[in-house]
Amino acid sequence: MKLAFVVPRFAAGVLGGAEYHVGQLAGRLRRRGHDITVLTTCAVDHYTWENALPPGPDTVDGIPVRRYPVTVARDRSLMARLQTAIDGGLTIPPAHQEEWVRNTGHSEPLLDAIAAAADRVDALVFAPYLFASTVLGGRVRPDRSLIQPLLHDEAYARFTCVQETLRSAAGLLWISSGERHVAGRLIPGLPPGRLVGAGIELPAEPVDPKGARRRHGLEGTVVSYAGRREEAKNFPLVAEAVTAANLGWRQRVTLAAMGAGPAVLPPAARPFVRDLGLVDDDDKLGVFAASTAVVNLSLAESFSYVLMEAWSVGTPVIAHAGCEVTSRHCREAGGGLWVRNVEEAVEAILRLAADHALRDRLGAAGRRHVIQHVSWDATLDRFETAVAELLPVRAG
Amino acid sequence: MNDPAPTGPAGAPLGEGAEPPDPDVEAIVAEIQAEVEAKRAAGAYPTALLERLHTEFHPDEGLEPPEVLVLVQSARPLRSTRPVVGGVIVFGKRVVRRLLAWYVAPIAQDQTRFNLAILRELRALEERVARLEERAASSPEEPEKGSRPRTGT
Repeated sequence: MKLAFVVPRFAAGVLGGAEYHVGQLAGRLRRRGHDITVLTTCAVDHYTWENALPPGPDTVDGIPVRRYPVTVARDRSLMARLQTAIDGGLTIPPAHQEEWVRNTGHSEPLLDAIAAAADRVDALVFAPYLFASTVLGGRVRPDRSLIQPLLHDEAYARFTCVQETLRSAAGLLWISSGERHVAGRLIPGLPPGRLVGAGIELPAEPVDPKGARRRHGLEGTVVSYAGRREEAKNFPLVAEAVTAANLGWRQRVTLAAMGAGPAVLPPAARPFVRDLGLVDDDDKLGVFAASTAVVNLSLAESFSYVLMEAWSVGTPVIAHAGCEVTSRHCREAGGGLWVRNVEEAVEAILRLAADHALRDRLGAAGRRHVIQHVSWDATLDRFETAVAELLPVRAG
Repeated sequence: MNDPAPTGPAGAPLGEGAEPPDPDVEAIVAEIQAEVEAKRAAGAYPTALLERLHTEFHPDEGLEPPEVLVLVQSARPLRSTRPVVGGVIVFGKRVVRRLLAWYVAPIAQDQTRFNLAILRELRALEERVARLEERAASSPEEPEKGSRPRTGT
């Protein structure tokens, strides 16, 4: 197959779930023998959208990339006003929604490149759903466009222009059944889609939980967290639950918190949170394996690689009942519990800490789920089938 | 509590050993929810501590009515945590504040006026909705159209 992926940013060192996912997918499809190109902007920073990289051809991890300059300079004043309104829960008018999108790295040359590529490839694949490269780029040749939204329940998914682009696409590629369910609830009249999923690599070597405990000085009951340590990911609720377990339930529980940047927390939490900072993948999996559970109470997930990584080493997870994606993963895999508040989070942690057999059964079920459903081979098979079904090869 | 060092399948080769049946996670979650409800009802949880922690961990959740937040103040208390040069720093900040007051104060006043206008409208709307709800609750239901006697032509 000949595919052009269209993403707002694509460069080594760009951290972000969508970029990581597209990088993995594109690279692995290429290694399967498909002809892959990535069309993107020269921007690296998704706040400033400044042209940080030169336009033209490049290669990232062996994947051919063509970059185009952002041509609409970010209107900082307008965006500050719009963002304040959006974050405050207000619905901004459709014209302002379109302006918001135009201020997320809009590149007119990229639209020209999409138009030129449309008839030379089997499919244009856009991701994620909310930036100009997808919302405006997806309108250029909707008949040749598949969109992988990577969507969760947030204000941008309700934008009129976003919904119009998603509705007009030839097809949608879902990363999880939860994402498909959320999108169906928020956006009526969606085109056909296929559940493609995503993959992770199982650890090649047995992980070393004892070594991780020794390296990081972790003792007793440990639960772990990996990702952005911020309100948007509900990290304070995780720390609150661990603090409550120690101060209110009088049980010794330590939170091993991994991620970039400092974990800013109230003083009450500090004795019970070990800030491990940014660790490498082996270390992260070691800490997961050493943990009673991996706790991810984020409400804003379209897939959650962290859950799959936890299950890959046989560790159960605790998710938030309000997140359709992660709680659905737990139901489907049988590998985790979902909670609605601090008290339930503490009781779930303490139950798993006290009942090793239950903890191990949940972890084993999660691991089986990963082996059966979350491998890259199966994901690429589903992706190839989805493209062939949603955009059949044209005659001639 | 015992050391919960896991004994599970971390890193175990694929397909090793007999697979246990999948746990009924719906039932376990329901048990935990019921347990929490029962303990709450019995007053078994340290409510005061949990409320204090909630406030500390989620300081942005609005506890004050908007009337308290209407006034935007352009002058904030000036402080410095530096032990020796703190006084000099506070003095410097005061000078900067005075120099910029002509620019900052009108913006704060404009914002306060806007906040007040919005809040007045909001409260007026609340009163109207309350009056309408009261009227709807107290007025007798209109007879259905079908039950009205037909008049001849």
